[in-house]
Amino acid sequence: MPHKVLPEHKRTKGKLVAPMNHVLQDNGYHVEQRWVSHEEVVVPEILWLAYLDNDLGHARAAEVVTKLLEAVSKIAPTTQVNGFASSFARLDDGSTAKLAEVLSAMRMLDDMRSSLADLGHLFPMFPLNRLLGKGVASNVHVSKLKEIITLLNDRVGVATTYALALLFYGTRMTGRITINPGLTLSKPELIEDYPNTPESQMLAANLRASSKMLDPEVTTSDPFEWQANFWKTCLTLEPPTL
Amino acid sequence: MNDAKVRAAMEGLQDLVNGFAEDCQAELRSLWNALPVSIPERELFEVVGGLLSRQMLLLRQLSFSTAFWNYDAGSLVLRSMVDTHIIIAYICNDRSLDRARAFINHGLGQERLYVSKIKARASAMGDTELMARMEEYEKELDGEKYGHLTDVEYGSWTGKDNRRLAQELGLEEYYDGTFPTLSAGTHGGWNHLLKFNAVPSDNPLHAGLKRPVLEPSTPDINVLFLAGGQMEMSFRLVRERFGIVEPETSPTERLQQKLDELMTKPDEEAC
Repeated sequence: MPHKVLPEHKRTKGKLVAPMNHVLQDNGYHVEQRWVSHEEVVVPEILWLAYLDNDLGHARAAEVVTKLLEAVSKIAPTTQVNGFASSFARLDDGSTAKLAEVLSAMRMLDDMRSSLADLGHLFPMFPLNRLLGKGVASNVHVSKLKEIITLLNDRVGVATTYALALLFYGTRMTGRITINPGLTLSKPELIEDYPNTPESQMLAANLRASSKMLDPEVTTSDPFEWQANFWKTCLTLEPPTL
Repeated sequence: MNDAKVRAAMEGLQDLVNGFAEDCQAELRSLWNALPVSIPERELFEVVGGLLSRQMLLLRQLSFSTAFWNYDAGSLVLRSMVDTHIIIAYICNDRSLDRARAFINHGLGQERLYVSKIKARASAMGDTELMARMEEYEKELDGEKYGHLTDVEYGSWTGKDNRRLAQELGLEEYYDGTFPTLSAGTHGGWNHLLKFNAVPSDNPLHAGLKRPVLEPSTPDINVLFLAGGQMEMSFRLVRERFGIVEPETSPTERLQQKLDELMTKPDEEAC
């Protein structure tokens, strides 16, 4: 069958409207779409998770993140905190101090501090700084930051997939999302085989699709404070000069 | 002037032109480094940076190609620079970020349309290799914006023709003085051909028949200065938009100064 020119676009007077920009609207749905940049929006939000995964290993990182968010949901049940870094800015000082105590008692705070020290030093506005405390100034590794950002920029990469898994399954511990047992998302163990099996690839695709919807305020504000601050600092660290 | 003198003069000119090209590159580097680039407004800076690069590179390439220093081939470059300048003026005027985004969306839409047409042709010809190449390219474009989200706008991305745009931007005089004549040069209109490509025979038996021109015009350095002026106008607009201080002298002023020095050099030095 011969290929047609942009067959799924809809011809109107002034333009060819893209499928996603007309299909739902034509069926009476009022849909406002918004482009969420993985690099600009998602990466700063999941960077801390990638650091934990990189430094502590998959198992310990998963334990730390799930216990952390479980504790948050008990200490501040009405505050929307999830795996996105920005969401930690919503915690008040009292809850943050209580959370630090709980994490310390569980011997998790030191692991988090050692892993996230670079982020804390490089980014004074890092939303987890209040929780982690100022800490001792150490040698800050901008090269490590660049390496992890580079890994996360690969949307389908292993590092990104693990960070998204930490985000998603950590957020699940807050009770704010439930997963139907029949869905691929209900089988987090599949990630161990990523990217070598079709099932693990399906899980990763589901994680990518679901993660941006976990906290629309964080992913669709223009731009969220932490994201703007993060990129501003990055450009200061290494200006894009010619 | 003997051969040695001509050779020396040409070498001197070549050095000047090479220096000018470097100077223009340095000018862009300096301007870009002074811009308050921010990631949330990345489209604005990416577009402005790209347009400034186009102005600078067109000029740079023109400076190395003396065969283009005439109003025949040079029109192609100059007209492109005028187009680019009007776009820069439109984007730097107001609602800069929205306009930069519209510019990007229009370009991506046009590219999608182009690729789809090539694919339709490849399909009709049964050219599976070309088809595969285009599909690979579509994946690259997805990195900018997915095809199923990319609208394709008909006509100009501003919704206005260049003349109206120039009028709105207060560039009517500039437009009238450049655009029509350079467009004729770009599209090969008769008014252009009459000047550069068709010359009346001086043979009375030919009744003034215009015959094709075989040789290009003599290089005219004014074409280079005109292009330099275009680039500098664009750079000035961007500096004004972002509150960047204008340098004391421009690359064309420095070129003119060096050229004057070269022209007034005593003969013995030139030898």
